[in-house]
Amino acid sequence: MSSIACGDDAPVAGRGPLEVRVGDGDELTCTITNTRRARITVRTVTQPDDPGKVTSFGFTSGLPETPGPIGILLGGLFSLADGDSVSTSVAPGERSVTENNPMPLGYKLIGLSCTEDKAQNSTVSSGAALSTDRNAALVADPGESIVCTFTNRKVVGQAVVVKAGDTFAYHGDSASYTFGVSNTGNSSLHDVQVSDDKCPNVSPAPTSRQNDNGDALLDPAGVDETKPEVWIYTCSYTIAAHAGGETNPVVNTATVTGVDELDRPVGDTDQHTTTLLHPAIALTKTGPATATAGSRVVYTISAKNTGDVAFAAPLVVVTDARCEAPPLLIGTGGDGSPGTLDPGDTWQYACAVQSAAGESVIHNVALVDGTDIHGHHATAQATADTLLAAPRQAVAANVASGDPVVAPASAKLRGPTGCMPRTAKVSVTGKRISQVTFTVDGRSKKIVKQADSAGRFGLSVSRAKLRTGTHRVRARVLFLAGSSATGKTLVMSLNKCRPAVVKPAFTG
Amino acid sequence: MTLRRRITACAVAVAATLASLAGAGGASASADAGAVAAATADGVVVTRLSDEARLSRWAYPAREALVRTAPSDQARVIDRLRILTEDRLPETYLLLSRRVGAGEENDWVRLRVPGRPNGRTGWVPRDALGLFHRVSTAITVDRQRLRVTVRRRGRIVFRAPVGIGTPSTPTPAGRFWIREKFRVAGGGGVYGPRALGTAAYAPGLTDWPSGGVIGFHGTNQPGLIPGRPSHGCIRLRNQDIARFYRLVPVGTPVRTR
Repeated sequence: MSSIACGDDAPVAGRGPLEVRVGDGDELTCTITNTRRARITVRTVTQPDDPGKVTSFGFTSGLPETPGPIGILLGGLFSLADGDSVSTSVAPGERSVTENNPMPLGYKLIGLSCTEDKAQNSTVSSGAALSTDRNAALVADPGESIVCTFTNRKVVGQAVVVKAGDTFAYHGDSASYTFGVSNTGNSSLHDVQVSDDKCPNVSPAPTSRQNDNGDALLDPAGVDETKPEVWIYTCSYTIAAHAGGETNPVVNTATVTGVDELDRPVGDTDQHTTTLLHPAIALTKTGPATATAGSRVVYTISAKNTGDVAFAAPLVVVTDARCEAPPLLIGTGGDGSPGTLDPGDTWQYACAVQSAAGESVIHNVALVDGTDIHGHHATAQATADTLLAAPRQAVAANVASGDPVVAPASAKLRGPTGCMPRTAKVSVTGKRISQVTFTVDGRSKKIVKQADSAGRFGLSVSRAKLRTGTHRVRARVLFLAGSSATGKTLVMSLNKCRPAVVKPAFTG
Repeated sequence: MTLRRRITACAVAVAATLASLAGAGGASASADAGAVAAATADGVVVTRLSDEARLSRWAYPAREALVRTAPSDQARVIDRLRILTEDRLPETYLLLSRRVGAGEENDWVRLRVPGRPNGRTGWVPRDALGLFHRVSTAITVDRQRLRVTVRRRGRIVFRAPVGIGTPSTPTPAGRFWIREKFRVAGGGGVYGPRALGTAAYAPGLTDWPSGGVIGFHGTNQPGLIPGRPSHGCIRLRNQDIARFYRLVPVGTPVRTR
């Protein structure tokens, strides 16, 4: 029964029992109106499930005119744990149910919905108002059943930082790193900061953002709601000069911190490894400690890769200013990879220095310049001095006479070998030659006292004037006074060949 | 690949030019690319001149210098450079290595020496030789299969059956070289139209005129090829010797096995 009203002139109304005065002979009409009550059910759901019902969520309601069936609704306050529900019947009319703020419990109201089996005229908080109002304003129609579900999600704050940067670096280089920070929880983060234990000047704010919705919070879902926002921080620092016992590789640890919606700190770390490279080549040069002035002195040069990075063969350049020609690579020591001077490899070079008469010492510096696979250079130098002594004969003369140093004399005889041409050119070249006397087969042919423009003392021999066979050419060379030698006899053979049709002397 | 061969292979890549190192002493007829050099601690550079397979060097003698057992004027004399062969053609020497120290007098060349016993090597001063010549050909005589093979830079360019020495006058095994080549007087006699003299000597024919030089030549008895019909010489059919003659330059190393 909802109401009872009796009387026409002075009606009395109420919900009964109703006391009315009835006079004698009065005719009283009482109207009893019965209105069907509505039923409202409130239930909670938590994410993730809380089967132990550890947490109960409080509600404030304007539901009951009378205490609820199990006392939950006493005073308009009640509480429900995960999966629990409560129902009560109410007189039709406007009602409300509000969930107390679940944040202190570590939860956030993320959904509120009500279903009505009659008119859909109730309203619930949604959108931004959901987390502030948390209210269902219900219009309970007669006989209607309304079910309201409050969904609470446990707040998880989680940040991830991913560090990237140079894999290799050299002392003095500026090593650069990037830090990608993202939110893999379900709570937006604020006060996000990044630090690095080796790189002190990490940018205080992101230098770039990906999928960011611009709300200054690091959200677990950005513009693309399927992906988290990513904030990029950067840092660079100069790698100090090499120090003994330094740690290599360098391991940087990046740390990100932030605060979630429950004001709880969250954080993450990541490491990045940078290998420090030390291109280095050691050079050693060896040669005779002493030699004769005017002679040609050979030096060997060893280039060893004492660093930890390889050098391509064409980029290992060994020079020696005094050598007649650039040092030649003469051995790689059985190197299995001769295309590169790898760490520990030793390559051998050789070159020669022509010393001058009167020179007392050969002092020359060998240099090596290697360029590694990253374009960095390593250089080294080495010296091997050779003391030069005057030729023995000249020294004796000088000691005796006190004359200036005597220049060494030399002579070489050259001419055609094999079958001689129509005119064979025989010549003597050398130093401090004053005269050359040529004989052929013991017969004097020519005395030459003046070299030609090429410095040669020459003799032409006509083939037509010789018989078939071998002919001995002798050159008696006299040197200038004061030379290291007075004279020298040189011999060679000319061969006038027979026609190339032969009866062989083979065994057959 | 054995360690030795590997080292050789590595060293072959080294283009050490003696001319640019100590004591060039006369020009080479060709660049010394392919020479193999190694320097000792006392500054002596030893350069390999021939591998007797892909690259070999030879030279005419410039004078009748003494051939010694070691690169020193004090070393024992084993022979004297010859200007002419037994056939009165210019003698040639296959060069094995060169050793250059400080000073002109320390420039020596190790070479193969023709004559008995077969297989001798010795040292002569560099200036006793003329220009260095290079060849990239090599000859192999297989006495079992009775076959001669010519390779150029390691690739076979010629192969033919041969007739070699009888069991009582065998063709000697060893390493030799082509010392001379010529047309045979008279053409189609027992030597065929062409002949090439080697540095090998028939072991048992010491009394043979001119010492018993082993040569490659043609034949007027082609039916005996392949076979073992000769006194040690290596016979080819006349059409083969003609092509062989064109392919093989003087100085080409010969290996009989």
